[in-house]
Amino acid sequence: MSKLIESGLELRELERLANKKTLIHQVNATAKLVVTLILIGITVSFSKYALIEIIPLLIYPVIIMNLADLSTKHFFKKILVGLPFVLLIAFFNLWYDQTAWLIFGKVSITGGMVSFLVILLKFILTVSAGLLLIATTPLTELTTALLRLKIPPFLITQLSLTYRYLSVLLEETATLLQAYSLRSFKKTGVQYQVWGSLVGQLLLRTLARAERVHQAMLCRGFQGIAFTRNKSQLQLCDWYYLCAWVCFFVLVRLLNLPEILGMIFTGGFR
Amino acid sequence: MHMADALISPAIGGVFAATTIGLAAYAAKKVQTQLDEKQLPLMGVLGAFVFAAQMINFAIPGTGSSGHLGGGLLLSILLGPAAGFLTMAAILIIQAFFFADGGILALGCNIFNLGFFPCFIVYPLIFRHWVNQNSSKTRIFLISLIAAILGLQLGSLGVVIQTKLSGISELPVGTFLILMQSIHLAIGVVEGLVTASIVSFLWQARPELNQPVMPLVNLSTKKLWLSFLVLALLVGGVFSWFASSQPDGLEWSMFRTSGQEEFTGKSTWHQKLGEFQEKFAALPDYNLKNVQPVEGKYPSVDGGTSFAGVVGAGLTLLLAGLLGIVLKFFKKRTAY
Repeated sequence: MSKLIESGLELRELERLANKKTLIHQVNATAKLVVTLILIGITVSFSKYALIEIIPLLIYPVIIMNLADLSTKHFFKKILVGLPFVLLIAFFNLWYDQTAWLIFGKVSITGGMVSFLVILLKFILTVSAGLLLIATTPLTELTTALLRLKIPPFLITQLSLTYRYLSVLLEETATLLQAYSLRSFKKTGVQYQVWGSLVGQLLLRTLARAERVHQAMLCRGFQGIAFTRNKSQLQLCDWYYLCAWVCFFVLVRLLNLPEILGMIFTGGFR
Repeated sequence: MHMADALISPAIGGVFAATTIGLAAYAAKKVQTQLDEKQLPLMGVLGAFVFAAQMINFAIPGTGSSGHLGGGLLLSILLGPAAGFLTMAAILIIQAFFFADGGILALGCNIFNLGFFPCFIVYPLIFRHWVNQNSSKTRIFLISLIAAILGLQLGSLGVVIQTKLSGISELPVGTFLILMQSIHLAIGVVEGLVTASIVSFLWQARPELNQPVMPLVNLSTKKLWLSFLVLALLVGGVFSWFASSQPDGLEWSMFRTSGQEEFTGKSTWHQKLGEFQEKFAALPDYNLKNVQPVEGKYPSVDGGTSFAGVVGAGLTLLLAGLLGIVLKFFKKRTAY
């Protein structure tokens, strides 16, 4: 039951973070969105054994997290949400892929171990990329960015409305469940006798609320599409931000940077 | 069963993202032309409702465990397939971005699995087909149950297919299928029962909602099959290309690490790709030239390069860590 309240608090926390004023927060949302999408694309495009090649990409979350003044601990907690399913699938790689990949003396590292770690790294990179975008960009700016990327306004309105009513309905559901649990003697979860009526009541209330919301929107001049704040075009520094990251990502993708670094240090080039 | 970015390949993510964008554009057009403008806030609020309702634990009688609501079927019953699909998409997008539940590149796959199947397949072909205004309570209950189970089975089948085609998981298809389908059979039963209870309650409490809140979008079966065919061709086309290039990439990485070629019998297509790779690879052959595969010893490992790689990886991690510390230091200094 506390999951509902927790989710509500998390949304509020993300909104608070997104409204901070740091270097990263000031970058245009479109630039940040494009960088995020490219990072995810590049990360996923690495082969399943590219453990060493992929490591330099970790520099992105390290830099953004610090420049945007975000807490690492909080972020790791958030990243863990989707981990179980990924871990479950990745564990099977350890089992099924036993071909030796590297041998150090008597210890051999199997392909499964490598691909397991690669999946974990990819997971951390892609999830943190998304979260960092949300934690440094207010929703209004993000919707403007989506508009600029030619996402239909109808979908964006739909998205912002769902998001806006989320906290309201989370709170309402939490109240309902608290009332239920206070009257239901140590039961874990909602009993089947009231599945329909409990959620159904919530649904009826939701429908009534939608009606009121629509009336209120009409009173304020709603004409079918929600207005978004129209922010200025990309500035020069936004272009720098975009180009610098994209160049870095492409470099990481094309060159095996850690190996080159290692070659320099171990004299492998001679 | 939200797919993560880490488990899919760009090709799969791309194909399903494109398909989903197409479906969303089609649904948006349908909804907009048939939409009574008051439905827009309704879609938003119902999306938030399903989101919240997904977090309710429904106790499964006699087991001590609990199940959850998915929402795709319920949304299409309440709103019609097109609006239901869009609302489900909005929910999944918010889950991916704000709650890190499901990947961003994988959004196409997730919306397809959890939105397309219940809204565009199961709802029109099963629910709408068998349930009408005069249906009895038992019938509504039964059909909702069957529809929810089928929807989830199709969705989890989607997950298996997308994961396997991405080639990242080593799990054999058979095991994966048995695992996923059986887990989702149980989940589907709970989802079906919950959906059925809600629908039955609603049918009784608000008989005027017998019709979907929004007029049902007419979906012709012919169009549905046609779009399926297009998707199949699209997936097939991309995969035949992808399937032939993937082993090549793999082989290349095995060659680099083990110094031995695993696959023989290359086609000219493979050779061409190999030549292309050699020409355009950033550091062509700087490892391979010096490698003398050791006879009879498999896998023979080129110690030099592997060692350099591992040392470099450690150094890169160290650098990233140092960068963090330096940035933190400067931040503190500027704060005072």
